[in-house]
Amino acid sequence: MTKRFLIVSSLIFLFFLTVSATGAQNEDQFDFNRANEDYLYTYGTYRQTHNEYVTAREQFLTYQTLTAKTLALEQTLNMLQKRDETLRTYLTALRMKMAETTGISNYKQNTHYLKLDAEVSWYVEHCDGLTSAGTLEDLVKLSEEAEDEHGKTEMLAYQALGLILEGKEEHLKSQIEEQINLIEEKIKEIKEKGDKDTTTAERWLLEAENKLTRSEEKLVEANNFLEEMKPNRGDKAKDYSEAQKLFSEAHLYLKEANGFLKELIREIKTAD
Amino acid sequence: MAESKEEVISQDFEAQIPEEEEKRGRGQEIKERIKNIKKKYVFLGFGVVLFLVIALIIINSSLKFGEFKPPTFPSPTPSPFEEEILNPSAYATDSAVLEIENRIKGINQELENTDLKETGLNPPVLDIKVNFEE
Repeated sequence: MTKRFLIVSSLIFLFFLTVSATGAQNEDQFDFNRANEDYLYTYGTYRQTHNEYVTAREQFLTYQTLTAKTLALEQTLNMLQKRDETLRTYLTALRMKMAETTGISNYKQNTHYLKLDAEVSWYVEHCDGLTSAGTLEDLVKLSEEAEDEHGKTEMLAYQALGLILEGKEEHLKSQIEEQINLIEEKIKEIKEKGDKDTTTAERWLLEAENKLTRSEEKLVEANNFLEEMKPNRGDKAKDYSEAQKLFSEAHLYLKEANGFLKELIREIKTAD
Repeated sequence: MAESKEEVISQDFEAQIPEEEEKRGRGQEIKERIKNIKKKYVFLGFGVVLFLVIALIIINSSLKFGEFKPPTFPSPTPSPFEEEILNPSAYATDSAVLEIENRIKGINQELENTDLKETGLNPPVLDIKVNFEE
């Protein structure tokens, strides 16, 4: 009886051990979803601290008392720390998204990783430096440093988003190209056998290739928009929006190319 | 004696009915009338409610009838893949061709499902300018 009890209890213990070990493994996994959750949570806390900062600022400007000043100092410090953390977690989420997007060239990906990592480090250091501020003036000065950096952060973010979209399009384009190559080989084989007229199929293939070229042109145009962005110049959101439109146009060309390949296959499957 | 009997007979009994009794009779008459009127109203109210219910049922059923659409049978889809090839070539069952066809279908689905907005990843809106000037 005791033996049986020991065996059952040890089995139950082993089961729970395995379950908890698997759970711990899952918790350790840091992917885009986890990074995005971190970012959204931090952004939420930033908004809360920002509201508190606004109230404290108004109180200080109205009453100009020492208590109001101390409270304003405390709330501003809190808000600035959360602001830095928000940008740090946002950039990390973007990095993770880039890592999980197939189709981005290694060179572009690694170059942008370096830029994003440097930016994340900047915010970490800046956030640490905030604690040394003793007065409101110090905090305002430190906030101005972040203000100067923000243009660069925005530019890097939009460029990263552009790379993600480009990656998606490149991935689809390469898949279509692969099918075009396979079809080309098949048409050659049919031509050699001579048991079917391939003129129409070849025309469809040419049309598909043309659409693919047009798509490529749109991708280049979109990239130009993103590469021409400058940290402290122009409306970056507008530039990104323009690039996004071009990515959409490239996407439409890819759809058309794929549609032509469908027609081509139908043509091959139909007797003359 | 006989005279007195005649007198008794010829007495005007109606005139002798006390006024209170007359009033009671009238009151009862009024009550009865009110009862009749109440009954009428109850019947009338019941009729109105019944009419409304019937009207609502008719309206509802007519609306449903309006919504009713005769069953439509699917017309042949314009997609060439769904259409049956009536005169298939020797390559209609070729494994390489069918493989490419499947891949194209897969790419098509991917093209349809690609998110080219990524709105959730747009930079956060932050209050960048911090100052303590009025």
